[in-house]
Amino acid sequence: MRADRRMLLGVTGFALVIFVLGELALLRPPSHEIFPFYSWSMFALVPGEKDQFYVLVDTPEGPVEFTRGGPGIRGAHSVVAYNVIQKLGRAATSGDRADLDTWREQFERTNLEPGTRYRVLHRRVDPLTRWREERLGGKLPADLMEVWAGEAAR
Amino acid sequence: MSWRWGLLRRFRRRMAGSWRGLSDNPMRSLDRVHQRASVLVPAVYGVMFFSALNVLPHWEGILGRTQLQLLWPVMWLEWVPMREGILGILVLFLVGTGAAMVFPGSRGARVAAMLGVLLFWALNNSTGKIGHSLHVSLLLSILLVVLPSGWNARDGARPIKLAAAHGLVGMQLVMLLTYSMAGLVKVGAGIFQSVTGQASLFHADSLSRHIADRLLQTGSHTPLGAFLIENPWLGGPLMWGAVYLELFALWAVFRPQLQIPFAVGLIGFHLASFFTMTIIFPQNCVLLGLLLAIGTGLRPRWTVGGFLRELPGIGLIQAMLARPKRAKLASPRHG
Repeated sequence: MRADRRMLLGVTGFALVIFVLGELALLRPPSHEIFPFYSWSMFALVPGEKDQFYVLVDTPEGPVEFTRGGPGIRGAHSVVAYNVIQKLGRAATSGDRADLDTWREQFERTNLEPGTRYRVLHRRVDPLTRWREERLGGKLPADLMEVWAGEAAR
Repeated sequence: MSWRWGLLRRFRRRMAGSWRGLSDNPMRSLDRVHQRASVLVPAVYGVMFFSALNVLPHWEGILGRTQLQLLWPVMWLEWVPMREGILGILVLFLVGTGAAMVFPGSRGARVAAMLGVLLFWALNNSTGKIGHSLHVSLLLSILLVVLPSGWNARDGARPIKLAAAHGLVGMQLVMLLTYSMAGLVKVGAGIFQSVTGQASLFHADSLSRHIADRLLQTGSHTPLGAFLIENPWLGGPLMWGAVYLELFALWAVFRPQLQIPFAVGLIGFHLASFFTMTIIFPQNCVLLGLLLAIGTGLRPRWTVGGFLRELPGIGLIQAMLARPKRAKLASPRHG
């Protein structure tokens, strides 16, 4: 076969593979990915009310929400940390011990200083409601439920 | 065999709308696209090399990683000394992409670049969350491996030059396909959420919700993000415009009038994502500029009318509005 026709078939075939495997990856939550073929489903679902897990870190000034940063906290603004916290929270509520250990260890090692004490809290909330609460002073509301408490290894 | 070419030709014609190519000398057109490919392929490797250079200051931190959820391309790290294995990946990423930029004609260099990007990106994403800023570069590096030997020789045979031209258009296709897939999933998810009575893409506050959710996840604050959350009347149309651009991005491969406006629109979309949600895809922005704004060079003179005619959906509406007029004009003659 001529080089140009081979190339044309190669390009078409590769585009089809990207499309088909990408769409099939939609069936593989939560990542929706058959690496490196991705469904490109980022920001596809508009967030409504959903389960959210927060981490409260004990500091000398009192408990601080993880994303605000402070003593003992590393990578407060990292979206990877956010995802690990959600996985840690889900593992704690489902009672999957192996999963819990994996995510707890990763969170403590990557995002906390050794010896830092923390609590994981759960709440079902709408992002716009939470946003407005933040605008009104940023205090964590009373309907939070503790699902896990731990301390980063020294 | 012939049915396959027929199918491809029909698909290309359908996607191309009214665009039938330049009434130019075909050999001169081919030379022009080949020349562009000879510049743009090393430039695309240059973007990957630049990404590898940006990783240099972080080598020490990456080498220190231990507890990882390894993705399949880097599973082998479990059976070798971790630090040395990671060092090998970082060196391959840097040297492979650099070599492919300097020697794009060498398949060995292109394979090294592809492996370097694949392994580095798999390693970087073995931390519990997969990021996507280097995915398009990775897909392009896989595609470019299949370029024939001697593709960039100036005095190459016609089939070889054509293959290089297909490679350049293929890069546009692969890149814009990822945007169209993103648009398609958003529309699909929007219909699903609408039908199930949830907040959806078709609500004016869809962008406000995305921005609020993202800023809360990272504890960040952006003035533009806050403004759009509070003003959904502006955020909604912006969101729908972005989804339109994404969904129909693939059309720009076949309709050159759309390429510069879509490049500008999609780069604008990435910049807006940064200024509202602190998310940026820097490689994509540069690749959009290279592959669409510079592109194949086969482009008619840009006019607003020509652009509107080629816009997916808009052209269709224009054609539908024009049809009754034509029918009216035609009827007395037939009558």
